[in-house]
Amino acid sequence: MPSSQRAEPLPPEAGQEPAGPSAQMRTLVSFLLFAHLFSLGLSWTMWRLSSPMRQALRRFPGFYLQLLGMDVAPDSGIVRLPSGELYPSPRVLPKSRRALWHLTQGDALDVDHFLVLRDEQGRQVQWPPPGAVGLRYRRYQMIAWEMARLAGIEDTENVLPAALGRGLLREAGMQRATLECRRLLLRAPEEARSNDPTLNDPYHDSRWVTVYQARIWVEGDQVRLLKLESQAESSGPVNRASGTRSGSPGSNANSQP
Amino acid sequence: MLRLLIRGVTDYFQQMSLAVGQGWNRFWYQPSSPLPLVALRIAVGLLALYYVASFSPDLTRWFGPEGWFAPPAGAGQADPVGQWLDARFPLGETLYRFDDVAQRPFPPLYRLSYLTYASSDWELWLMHAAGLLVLVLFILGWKTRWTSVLALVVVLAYVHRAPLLNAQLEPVLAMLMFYLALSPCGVAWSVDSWLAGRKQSAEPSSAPMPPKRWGATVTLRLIQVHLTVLYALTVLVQLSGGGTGGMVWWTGEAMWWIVARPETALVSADWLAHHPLLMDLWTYFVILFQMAFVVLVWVRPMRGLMLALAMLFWISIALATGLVTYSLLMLAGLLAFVPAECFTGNCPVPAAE
Repeated sequence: MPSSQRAEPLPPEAGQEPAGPSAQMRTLVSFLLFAHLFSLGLSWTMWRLSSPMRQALRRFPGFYLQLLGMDVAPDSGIVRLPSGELYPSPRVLPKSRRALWHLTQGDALDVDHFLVLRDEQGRQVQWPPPGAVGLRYRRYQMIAWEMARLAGIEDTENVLPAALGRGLLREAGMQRATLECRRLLLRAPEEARSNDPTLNDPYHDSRWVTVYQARIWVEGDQVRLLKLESQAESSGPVNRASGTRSGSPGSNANSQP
Repeated sequence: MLRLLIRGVTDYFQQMSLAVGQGWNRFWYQPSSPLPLVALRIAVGLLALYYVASFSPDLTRWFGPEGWFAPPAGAGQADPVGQWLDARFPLGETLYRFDDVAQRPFPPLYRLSYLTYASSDWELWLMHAAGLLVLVLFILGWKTRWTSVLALVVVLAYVHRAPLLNAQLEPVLAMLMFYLALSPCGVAWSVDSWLAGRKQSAEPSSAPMPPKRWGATVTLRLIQVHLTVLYALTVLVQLSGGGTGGMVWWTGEAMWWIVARPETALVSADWLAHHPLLMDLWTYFVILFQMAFVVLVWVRPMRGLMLALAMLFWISIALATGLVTYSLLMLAGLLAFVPAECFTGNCPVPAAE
């Protein structure tokens, strides 16, 4: 280890260069460097924890890294075993606790998702809102992603809609509404090369899948929520560019079913 | 004979220990110019300013007392969703069975954000404006020792206020801001240095380079090591495969599935679909560049090439993903690898180093 007893003090170079730190300072800084890099090393290598000892080992530096906003797992959260099985379930790990630096794994969650709120009068509001780009767009995406990720897990899928429901309803000026999380499926390269508009259109109605749907309303201080069965397909949400609904009359002809 | 052998082994370990110690000290403490850190202060500061300013259109929607992440009445939690996620996935733990943790109490959280203390919209806007002001002062280099720490606090306040909104950008931004807060990043191109120059002499200082400091080396090395590990982790995760789509980084399809997202890509997927070979090459360039960068950026003669390729790499990632701010931040981080002389227009020739 770089102990001050073993290493010679750093000499000034050519009489011009400033000297390095004193031996005591080097020892102190080396210790802090070691502690910091050790904490990072644990966070980079121990994101899947099995034994209580490994969990305990990870936990202490985890607090430190959490304070600094660096406590993210660098992996995608999804591993394909040699048997072909996905492990663990892609739905269990929070997206926002992952660094997402890998950009894609070609997973069902690696596509755009949208939140749509519509009431009985036919009014509807969509997030990300039309015109949101860059960081703004991505923040709405993260919420929609999280809702899609939790969808289908019986005891957790309503947590996020219930927590955000009051704000969503207030934002849309609605008393009660249907909340949907919509997934926009991607085209395969062959589809993008096709001359068939139903295949070629990236916003075609057939590409929209509802992954979560619930009736939502407020009673007093409580947000009430009734989960509905998700539909495999439904009409398109608001077109971000034009503000019209794809698949609705007056929209792009290519979007017609 | 045995004694000689023991002495030889002992000498070997003593010399090895000495060499390792000297190598460690040279790597971390050899004084170096803080100019790369100064450039980082300006570049990362501008991106941090944009990051915080980008909350402005949705500030009250996200964080206001009536906003999406407002705590329910009497709940006493700043961010119920974030708290819920943290409770179930504390500190990176992967918990597969929800019933195991249904009764688990919230763990202690270290997600501190002054934004949680805003009890009205105008208080929130006041805090927001103050945060932006701190970041502007940090970029300008006014009282940099203090504003660098305050700028870190500002950025972390937004990162911690609603962790649900975080993605690629935030951990890298927090990392760079943290290291800059430890560094002498205000010694040049700053109000501080201008004021110091005025105090010392009526004439402006003619010295192009601020004096070398060992503190600059420590923070530059931390940024270099941290960034290199991020590249390594990224490529390892990409190559580890997974996902319902299969091993897309091995098959060459990955860049297609990124570009095919019509809402985010800045280049035409239709055009790329007609050039499958280009799609494959792009995917393999991403993988091979990252693998090469991890090693070759530490080889002095190769560093210039790696930095040039990194420009190409991050521009292509920005075009494909639409993650422009993240790509710019990663490009800004590469300033830590640029020789200090380059900032004064005297880039050393690799062979001469």
